[in-house]
Amino acid sequence: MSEHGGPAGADGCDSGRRHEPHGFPRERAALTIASRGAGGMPASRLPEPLAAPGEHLGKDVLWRFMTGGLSPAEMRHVFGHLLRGCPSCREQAREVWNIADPPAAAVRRAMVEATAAAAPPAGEAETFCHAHFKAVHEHPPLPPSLPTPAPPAISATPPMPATPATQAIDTAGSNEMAYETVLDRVFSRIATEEAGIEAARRRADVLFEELMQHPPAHQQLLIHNSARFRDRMLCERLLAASHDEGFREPARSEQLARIAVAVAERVADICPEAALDSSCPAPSDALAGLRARTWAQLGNALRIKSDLDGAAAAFRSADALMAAHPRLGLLDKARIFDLKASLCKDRRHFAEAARLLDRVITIYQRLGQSNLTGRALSQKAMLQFHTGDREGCMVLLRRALDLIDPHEDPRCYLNARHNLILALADDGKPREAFALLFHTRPLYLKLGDRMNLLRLRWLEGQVARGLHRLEQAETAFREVRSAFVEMGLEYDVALVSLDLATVFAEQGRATEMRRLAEEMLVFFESHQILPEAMAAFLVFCNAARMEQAGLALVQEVAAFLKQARHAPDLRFGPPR
Amino acid sequence: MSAPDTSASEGSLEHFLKSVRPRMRTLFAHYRVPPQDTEDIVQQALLALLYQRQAIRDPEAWLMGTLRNKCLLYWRERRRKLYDAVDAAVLELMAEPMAPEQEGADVRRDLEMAIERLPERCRALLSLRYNQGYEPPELAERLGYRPTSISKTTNRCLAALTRELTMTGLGRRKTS
Repeated sequence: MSEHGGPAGADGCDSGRRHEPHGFPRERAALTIASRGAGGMPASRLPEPLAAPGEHLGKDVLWRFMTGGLSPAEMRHVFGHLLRGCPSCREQAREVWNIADPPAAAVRRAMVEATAAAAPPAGEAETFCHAHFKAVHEHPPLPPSLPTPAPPAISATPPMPATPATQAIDTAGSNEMAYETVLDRVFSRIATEEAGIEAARRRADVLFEELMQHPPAHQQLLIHNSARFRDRMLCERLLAASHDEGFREPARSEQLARIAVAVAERVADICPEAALDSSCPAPSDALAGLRARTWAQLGNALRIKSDLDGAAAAFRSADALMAAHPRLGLLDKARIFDLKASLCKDRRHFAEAARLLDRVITIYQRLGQSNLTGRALSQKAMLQFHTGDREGCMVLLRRALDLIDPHEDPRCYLNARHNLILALADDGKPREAFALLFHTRPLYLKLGDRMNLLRLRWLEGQVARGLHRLEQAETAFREVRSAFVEMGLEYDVALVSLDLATVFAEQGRATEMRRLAEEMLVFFESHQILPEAMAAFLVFCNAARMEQAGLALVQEVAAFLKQARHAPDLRFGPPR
Repeated sequence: MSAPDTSASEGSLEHFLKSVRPRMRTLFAHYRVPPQDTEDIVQQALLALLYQRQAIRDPEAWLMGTLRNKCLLYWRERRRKLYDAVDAAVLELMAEPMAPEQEGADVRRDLEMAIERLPERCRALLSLRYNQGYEPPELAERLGYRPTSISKTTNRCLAALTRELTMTGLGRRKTS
């Protein structure tokens, strides 16, 4: 018997002698394989096809080895066999791995790239880059086409008996029809599930309404005590409501997010490893994704309330869940990164925010969500704006506008256009800003809500100021200012007042500037405004009182107020 | 994009599934995921689509992107098993008492040579692991990696080693 069984040449080599590992007699090598199973396991306990001493490993076994399809003991056994130097099996393994053939790898690479972003997520695969690793990591282990009919010389090696699994694997690459049965089965189950999910969604709406009739403390009590409220769809409903309230009422947004967290944790308690049916709300990864999103939403609500430390703590919980569940849904991950990027921006951790947004953009691109990609690009653009990179900001906004569908998401589209006009005006390009504003005006009017119309008017004032149409600018700023005063938006009152002050400064109207400063001071003393913003504002007021507030000072205070709005830790350094 | 309004009735889901079916088949065949293993992948992706449909603008693109990602994760996990096996086998080999025979010494020497051909970072990591028995937390501390990233880094090095061993093999002096 040869070392691996079979006569000389059975493995495709012409001489049995060449199979002897390291020149040792065949019997010794056979003994090595037969006497030691993997991990110390006796060889007799290994599955028959792998354990037979003195035999070569079949191509299907090697394929399953290369693709991790064997048990751990079998995996170690096969590797041990290769490690101890069976040239024939190594040759086969090389073929199976399919990396010994660079042209084939190059073709595969092109195919993978052409089928759009098949590479592993950047953040998960790129701690340090090296071509050596990338060759292994970027390509999914696509084995050579199987089955490869064994040539006569090889077939002389005792073949591995084909198991149903290997047969399935063998046909996988070459026959798409092999998937038909599976798809039929899953589609049928999903069709049944859909009705259940719809019912669950309607039930969640009812539960939400019921829950909202109770005071917040009672709501938490209900979540803890009543099983009815431990519902995944209710949690989704709460998340959506919390998100919407973030624009209107941050305190309520936080309250809703806290209930969502409680619901998600309760759902996780009752269904830790959920099976797939309507009675059990979600598989564990989906559930972990939901929990992580609730923490992220809470973090976002706290951020809006300017509780940045609380927000960071909530995001730590979301991060921990993501770390514990690496297979979390991409959409969940993108949502969390997106919200976390906003926190990083507010904390002025711009590099981290940009990194997160890049991941968000990559995910949305991979999922083919052009609208969401546009939205994320728009966010990243504003990050550039805050870091002073106007040019980069405008490039990103233009890309975003190409992707956002104005019919599907008019608000987001308008937002991007608004920011682009703002960036153009800020970058000393008032004519371009004016042209774009002219074409965007109908969209503002179409959306029609008061806040958007005020934003339009404010922007008109800023563009007019850039064009040195100072009377028009003054009129616009006064109108907006008076509306903001009426609405009690003190911070916006401060910002638009400073815009008005720049008009006075440009015209040298020191008396009117002084009067404006005094009016503003009275207004702010009766309202709450961030202490640092107030301090900066007082610098301006004092200068205005002495009729020494020049354009540079006004612009500096205005720039500080814009930055300090979401960064209360920022300190104002008065100009020397 | 021909994706349906997923908020509509069951009929539209049926239409959607019918329209994406050929692409799904092609995708799985491209990634060579065994049919029996695609069941979970498809099921999870479609369920996620139903649950999150309000957040998804382009269901077909989303589904294909998600399936593609799941196929990659599937293979990544399978490959991880390969690296674990390589790691265990090498550790086992190193733990064997020094065999007087030429074979044992040759295998060790060949393994060391394979490691020598790897990038510097991997050489350091694998040498510490296999020659001095460092555990991952110790490796992280010694080599300056974060404890959370050491397993990822180790896997990359094992991937490189596996590739090296499979490409050039051990005992190639004997066979060449």
